[in-house]
Amino acid sequence: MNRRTLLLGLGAAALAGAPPTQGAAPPAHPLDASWQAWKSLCLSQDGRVVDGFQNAASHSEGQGYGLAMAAMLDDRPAFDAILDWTQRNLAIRDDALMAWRWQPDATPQVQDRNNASDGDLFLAWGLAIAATRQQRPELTERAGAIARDLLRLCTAPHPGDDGRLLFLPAAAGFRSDARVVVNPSYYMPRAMRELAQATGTPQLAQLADDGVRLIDGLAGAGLVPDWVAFGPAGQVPPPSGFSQNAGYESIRVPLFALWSGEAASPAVRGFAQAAGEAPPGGPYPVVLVPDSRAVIESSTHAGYGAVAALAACAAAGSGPGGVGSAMRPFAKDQPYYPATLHMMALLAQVSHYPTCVPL
Amino acid sequence: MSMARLTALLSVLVLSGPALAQDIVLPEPASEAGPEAPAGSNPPEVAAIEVAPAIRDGVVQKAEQSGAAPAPAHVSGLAPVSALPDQIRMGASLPQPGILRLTGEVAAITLALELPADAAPAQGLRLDLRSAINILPDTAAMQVTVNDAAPVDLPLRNFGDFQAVDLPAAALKPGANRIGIALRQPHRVFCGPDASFAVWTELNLARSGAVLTGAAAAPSAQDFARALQQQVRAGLPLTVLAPEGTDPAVLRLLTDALGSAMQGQAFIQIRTPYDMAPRPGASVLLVQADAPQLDYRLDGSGAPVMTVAYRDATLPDMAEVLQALASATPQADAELLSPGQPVTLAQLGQGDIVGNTRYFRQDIPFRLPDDWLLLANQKARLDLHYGHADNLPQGAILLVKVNDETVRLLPLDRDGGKLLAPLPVGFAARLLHAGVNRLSFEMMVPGNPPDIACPPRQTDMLVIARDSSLTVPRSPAMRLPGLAATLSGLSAPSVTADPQAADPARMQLAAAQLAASLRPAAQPDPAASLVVMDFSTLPNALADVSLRALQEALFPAPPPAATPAQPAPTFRLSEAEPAAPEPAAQPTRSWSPLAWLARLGDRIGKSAFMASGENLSDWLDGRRGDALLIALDPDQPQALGLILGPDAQIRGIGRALDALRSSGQGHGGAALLSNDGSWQLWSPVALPRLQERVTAANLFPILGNYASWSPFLFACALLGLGLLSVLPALAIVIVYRKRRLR
Repeated sequence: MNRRTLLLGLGAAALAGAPPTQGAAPPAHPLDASWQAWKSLCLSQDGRVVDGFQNAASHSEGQGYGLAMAAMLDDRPAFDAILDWTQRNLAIRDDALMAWRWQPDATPQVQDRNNASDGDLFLAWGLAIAATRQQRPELTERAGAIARDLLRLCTAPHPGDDGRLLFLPAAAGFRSDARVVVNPSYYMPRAMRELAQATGTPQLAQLADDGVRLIDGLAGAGLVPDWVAFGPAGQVPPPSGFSQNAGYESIRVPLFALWSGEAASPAVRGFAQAAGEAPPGGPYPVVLVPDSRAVIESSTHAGYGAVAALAACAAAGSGPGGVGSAMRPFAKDQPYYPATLHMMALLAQVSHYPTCVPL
Repeated sequence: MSMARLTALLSVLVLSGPALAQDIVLPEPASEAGPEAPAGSNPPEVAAIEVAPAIRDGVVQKAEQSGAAPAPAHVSGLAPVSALPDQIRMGASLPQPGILRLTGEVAAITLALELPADAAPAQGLRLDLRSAINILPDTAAMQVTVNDAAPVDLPLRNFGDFQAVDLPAAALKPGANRIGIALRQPHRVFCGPDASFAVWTELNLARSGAVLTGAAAAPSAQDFARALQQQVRAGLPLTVLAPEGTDPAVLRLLTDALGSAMQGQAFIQIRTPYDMAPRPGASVLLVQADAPQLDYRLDGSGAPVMTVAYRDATLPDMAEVLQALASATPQADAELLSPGQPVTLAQLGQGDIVGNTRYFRQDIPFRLPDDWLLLANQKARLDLHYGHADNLPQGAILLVKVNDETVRLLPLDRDGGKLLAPLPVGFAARLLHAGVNRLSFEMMVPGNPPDIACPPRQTDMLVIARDSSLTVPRSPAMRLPGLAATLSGLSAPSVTADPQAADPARMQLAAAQLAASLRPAAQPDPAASLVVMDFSTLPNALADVSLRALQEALFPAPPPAATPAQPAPTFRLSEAEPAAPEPAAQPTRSWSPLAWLARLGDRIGKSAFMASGENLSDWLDGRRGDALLIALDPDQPQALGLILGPDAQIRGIGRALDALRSSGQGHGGAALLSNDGSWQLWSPVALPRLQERVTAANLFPILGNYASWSPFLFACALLGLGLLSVLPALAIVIVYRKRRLR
């Protein structure tokens, strides 16, 4: 092999599809294919994230999730499309927050101008991520506006604990003098902290810390419920009609804790113990009784199983079960919500738990 | 959607006026909710109240439902007992990984079903089947026998997609089970050799087997090895999951260990864990961790996974599972035939051959020693002990083939009804070669008539007794030079990737996969090596090869240039068919003396040696393939290079390389792998190598080999000897004539 030859250029150029040997092409993200699949399931050409099971409605939650994931995966076209659609259709309030739902068959399509603070949080987080990764400082300004309005409109003092802030589900409602209703799954500690740093809003980081303490306290008594309420005397039952089970809402609590790198969170450990032993292939427990951990509802959609499997693997740490998680690679046979949970679980795994790759 | 409830609550809170600051008022039930906002009106500050829970999922199982539902079941899988061809053949074949096809009016196979020792009793036996539409459903049936239980008959009715059929299987037991399948599937319209190929039934092996219920326990090393062997025998690959950033050296260590334990019988596909394509079954995960660690888990589909955590290029101790894999791997080599003595078919591992399909073929592989070489006209002999039915239609024939060359055609339309006296069938021994050879029996029985369904038969059509014997003459220990000798001594660790490749990761992957699918060498040669490379570096052996020839040989063929078609006339004036265009004129052959001499010289040149007769560059011109195997340097014949084209498929190349290796046919200096999986060999002029002393016993075979290798040189040598022998005679004549003249 003395002839390191003139064919070098020729051969390299002719190898169809071969990556360049030199140059600035960044390595592909391991979840690129999964992201493409998620987009084919949930994202329309014009940047609308479609929730098929809700009459093809869109909401700020889905737009926020999609925007944040597009920013993380450096999908600029998808990012711009989602942002554009969101601005045109949901940015109709007098503040920087978004209206929470858009219905294709309603007139007008936005029937309620209230916001959903988790959707706004993810939107702002996505903007902050993109501002750095895409070197677009103007996005930081927009993220900052949302962050400031979230702090201004969607926080309330804890009725029973001076100095602690609660994250309200929306700008309007959910609180009275007697109690404040909270959805623990609206806390996303990593998003809050990174957004706080990016936009110079340290109160958001404080809100994240308060949220983590709140969730740790709830998890000490069992699984974190979907809805909780707090009064001057402490935790009180939420109004009837609000789910007190650990279900579709609160499954995001362990997921967001994992995504924030908090595998030791009691919420993660509790959920792993309750749902991590699901049989391979499902059905996966989705709605459980918080204290007894009895399963009320289960689903065969892989996204729910992915959260449980990742929780089990991450909670195992370096012990048995800490290498490989029984979550499936991204599955295309599921609707918006479990598909998005699945994608988020994969992102969390890639970010923080390299040994918990899907088995 | 949490906001559904959120809005409901919000609505009531806002609408409740003074109560707003006092307490949360819950919404009324949905049926009592307020009216929707009128169409066309401005969005109200508070919209209609919604209290129905958000629909998050469409396949929810309530606890009371799931409590009554049976526990999830999984299927164990089935596997052939012996290796099957991956091309459609009469009888059993694996045309796709994991899909067993049984072709012909009758077919039978025995399948293996392994159950863990602690497995719960199986709920039944599931067969995932489909059949060709040509089968006559009234009489077609499958007979299934589980171990020694009474056979169960099953009609064949699945003519579309695969459908599962469940059978009782009380005879299944923990450990090894045997599932016998016998098919009767006559053609509904036609009868004859063509119709035989048109009737088949396929079995999805991965989705068939014992139906097991209950929560699957964590697998053990034995469970993993058992499942892996089963899927490998079903033609399915082993998936090794390696995230990006995995140390290539560690990955190579792992694949070498697995490949060696399975003796090269498994194809290893390396994928990222995030790959969404379905996996065929058992797999291996390799990740970096804080400490080496080995574990066995179930993946999201319930298949066993061996998780291998490494640290600092150190793998955990895998001795137990490697031993389990090795003990479960069947030996697949053909039997070695000892030249010089009759060897019966039974000694080659073949029982009585019974043919009952209108087209029938049975191959019997056997190996000859690596240094066996006979190129002259020595004769080998088959003493064929056979018989056939007495009512076969006129034109029924049996072909006896050696390495796909027909050596005898036997009529089967006379003297039937009994086993005939052994028939000596002589054939040229030069049809055989070192390595794996194939003796084949091919029967064709026409329909009588061919355009109606075959009548049911009561007797067997053809029997070839296992005491039929094959006698191959001894040969001197000789070899043709070339790639074969190096390939036969090649071992997995000697297959490496070219570090200078334009895409080193692809080459490393290819080298790991090729090494893992390399069967162990009978006599490993530490000097033998194979470098997997691309076009970025070229060996000395290709120094004189034109770039264009190499490009055209290994690069995908460009699409044919579109030629403008002549517009068809829109009218027709004659009832006669339009005349076909005149074919392109052939070049006229010159009959000048010079041209005749040139052609003669060319013919002599080409027949002068057993060689390709042209240099490598000319030989490559016009040929196309996926990979080129070549000795890197003429001075170092034990260092081989495998140049991969951009479209090279590693699994196919691995199979072809294994076939070339086992056949012992890799003579010459280069081999181009064609797109159809066959090799084209380029042989420079090189003398056969004698590997033993010349004795009186082997003198003539040795001379015969050299004479056959180059009749021209041999004739020249004899002529030279003849001329030399004339010199003494001339000397004597001259001397005596001088004396007489005095």
